[in-house]
Amino acid sequence: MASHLFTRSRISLLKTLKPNPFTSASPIRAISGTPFLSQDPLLATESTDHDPSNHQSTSTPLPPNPATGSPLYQENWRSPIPNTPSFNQSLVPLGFLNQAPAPRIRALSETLDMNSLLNMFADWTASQRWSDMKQLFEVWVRSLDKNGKPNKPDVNLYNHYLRANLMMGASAGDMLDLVAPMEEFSVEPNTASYNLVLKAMYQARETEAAMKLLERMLLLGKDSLPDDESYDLVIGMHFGVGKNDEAMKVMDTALKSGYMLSTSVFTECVRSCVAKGRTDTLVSIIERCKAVDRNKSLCPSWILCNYIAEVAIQEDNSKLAFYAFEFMFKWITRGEMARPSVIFSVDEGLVVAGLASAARTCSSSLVEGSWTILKQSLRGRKAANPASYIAKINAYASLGNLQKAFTSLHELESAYADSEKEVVEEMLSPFTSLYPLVVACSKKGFETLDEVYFQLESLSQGDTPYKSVAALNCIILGCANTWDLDRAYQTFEAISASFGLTPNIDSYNALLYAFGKVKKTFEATNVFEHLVSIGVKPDSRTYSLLVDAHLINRDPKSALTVVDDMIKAGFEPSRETLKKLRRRCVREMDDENDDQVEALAKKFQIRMGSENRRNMLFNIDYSRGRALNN
Amino acid sequence: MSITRSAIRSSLCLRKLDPEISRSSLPFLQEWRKCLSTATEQPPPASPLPPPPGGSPGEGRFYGKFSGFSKHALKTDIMNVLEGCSLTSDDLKFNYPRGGNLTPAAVFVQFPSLSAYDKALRNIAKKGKLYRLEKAARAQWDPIVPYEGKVVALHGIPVNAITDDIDRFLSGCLYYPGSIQFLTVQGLGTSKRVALVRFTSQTQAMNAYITKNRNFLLNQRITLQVLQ
Repeated sequence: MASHLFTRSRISLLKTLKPNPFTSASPIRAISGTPFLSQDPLLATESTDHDPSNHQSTSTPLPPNPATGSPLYQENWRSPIPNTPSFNQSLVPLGFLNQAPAPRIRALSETLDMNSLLNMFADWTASQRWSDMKQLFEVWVRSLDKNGKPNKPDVNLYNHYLRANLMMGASAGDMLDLVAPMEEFSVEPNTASYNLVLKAMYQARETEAAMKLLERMLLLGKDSLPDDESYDLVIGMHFGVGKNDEAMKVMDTALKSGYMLSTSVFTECVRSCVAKGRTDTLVSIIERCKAVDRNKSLCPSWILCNYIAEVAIQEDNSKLAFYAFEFMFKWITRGEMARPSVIFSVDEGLVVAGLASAARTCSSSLVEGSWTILKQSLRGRKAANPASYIAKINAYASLGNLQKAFTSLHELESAYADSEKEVVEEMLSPFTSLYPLVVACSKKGFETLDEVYFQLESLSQGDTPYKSVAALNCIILGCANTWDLDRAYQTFEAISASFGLTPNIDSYNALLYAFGKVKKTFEATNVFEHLVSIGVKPDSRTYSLLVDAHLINRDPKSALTVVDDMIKAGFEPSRETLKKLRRRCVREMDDENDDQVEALAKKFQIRMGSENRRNMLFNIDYSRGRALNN
Repeated sequence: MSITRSAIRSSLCLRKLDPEISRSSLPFLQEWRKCLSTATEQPPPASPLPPPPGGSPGEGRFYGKFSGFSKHALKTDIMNVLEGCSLTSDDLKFNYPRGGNLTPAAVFVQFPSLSAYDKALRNIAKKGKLYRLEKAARAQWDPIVPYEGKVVALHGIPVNAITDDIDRFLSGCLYYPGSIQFLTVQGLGTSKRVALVRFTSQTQAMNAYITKNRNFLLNQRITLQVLQ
């Protein structure tokens, strides 16, 4: 413990001894440094202060007493003199910089030629020094060049000046006033000059002035003809204020001249045409955009494409619907190519509506377009809905393209071959889903029916045989519709004899219908008994057709018997059947059976209504009017 | 393939209902009345039903509100967008606001699980974010009456049209004559007449839509809309 205390005391002694030299040295350095710093500024500023400081500095080394040193030190630190000169020095440059721009601009205007000025303006445009550009230009045009002549700007330089004014908020009127003096400099305004004025008009929404300026540009011609930007500004301006007709006229002029439209203007035009229901105008514009190479890439947004398609289908404008699908196809293709890919798909309901519209308008291009985009949307991973196939068959039937219609029927049967039998039968029934195809097959009577039959026969014997009961059912029903019983029967027999297929309930229904139409009631009844005997289950339509056969034979009693059988089989008579039955009873004055029909209607809660509209025609009294006239 | 099978199953489910309806009108009318008066019948079943399903199946269910689709979208279109979420046709309910113009405001979706809902969100992001999917409550799902693609709305009915005119317009189609009912919907400032007709099946409804749309009824063009 004692040794530790001793060592600590020694260390403390060493510490106290070591700082002594430093403390003695620092005052010396401080004293030597301060006089030099204080002397220079004093000499620079005032001579009166110089003498006292020199005197004090000379007196410092004489007395070694520390009392005299510390007052000097304090006096030096408290002296405010050294700060003032530095402050003055900092102020002077600022003042000098503030005063510089005016003379500097004047100097620049005197030294720069036109090309140098153009380059400088280009730099200042990047940094948006509009005010400087404006001032420099105004001074420059009033200065003289090297040869002592007044400076003359060219049109490019003047356009920079116009742009500077535009960016500083000049109005359209101001811009026009600035364009006028160009003649004084022997400078002709060009398209860029007028475009700058149009931009000012665009911001102020001055459509009338813009139209006049556009006409003026067209009149002057040559260097001041309107370009793409001019038309975009004017068209966009008119759309902005709601003057769609004027906008269309200007767009018409632009498209005629082969100018390129911007995407925003095209989109605005599309939106306007669709909102106003001007589908034909939109078709015309789209077609002309397609004709010009530079406008081919124009494409509305995906949502707008859908909207165009909806309106086109509503208005039955097949061309516009086709173009809408074409735009969507571009979007789908573009989305798949993008990284990461964006998967666009068209709604199948929209495609069905498009196909239905194609059927109404007999547009083959719309059928192809609709189906192409549907396949593109499904991407081969899923079959189209049955409704899509039926709509396609309907479209081809209305077009009279029976070959493609039956090809579509083949596709439908292939796609849903594994489905439930009842569902397939309903989809392929010639009385409902495929009825348009039946009508198409009967268009020229037996001629078309035979042609279709032989086509199907040749297809069934080809390399890839196509055999379809549904297709043959269409022919049988077509024969029935044309009162051609013999052909219907031959086609029915050919189902098993020539094609090796088994007739289904629709085949028997069609045959029964054929017999019924030509009043062969007994044979119709035999067909019914035959199909029941071989195990084919009759459906609701079978009984209805049998009732019709009896009614055509003017036998309401037998018809009622069939209705009773129908009810026993678990089916419900339709309102149409009961109305036919009642009508026949009334015509035959069969009150007893009429009462039974009424009882059936009450039983099944079927409101049969009245026959007023039919009776108007049936009860026309032709001789009454003549009697009155006489 | 799974979607196709589910579509077939959904059509099978729909098909099974048809024979019962066709055999006698009483079940159809009762079912129809139930559909139309679901609001009044909701309170009584609510009390006994929640306890049993709340235990096991209720917890797994997740409900979403899907919007952003177009006017012509079918149930299969929405099932294509929500691909891989194990949805069937019965899991979608189109919401037609009462008093509106029969434009579907949204589709309420019943997901089998929360993971299916998350997968649906990812699918929507992959489709370019054109659609929106939000969470929904079961209370929003239950009251909606599904039309199952069998009901067709006829827009633009003339003022002097009667049931016979609708019958003549739809001649050749298989529908329930007694199901014709007239509505008045509010359009842009004017009220319009709409007729709702129930068909025997989805196929028949689509057949009518394909062949009868934009045809004339008493000098007026009629626009058909299949309610999903």
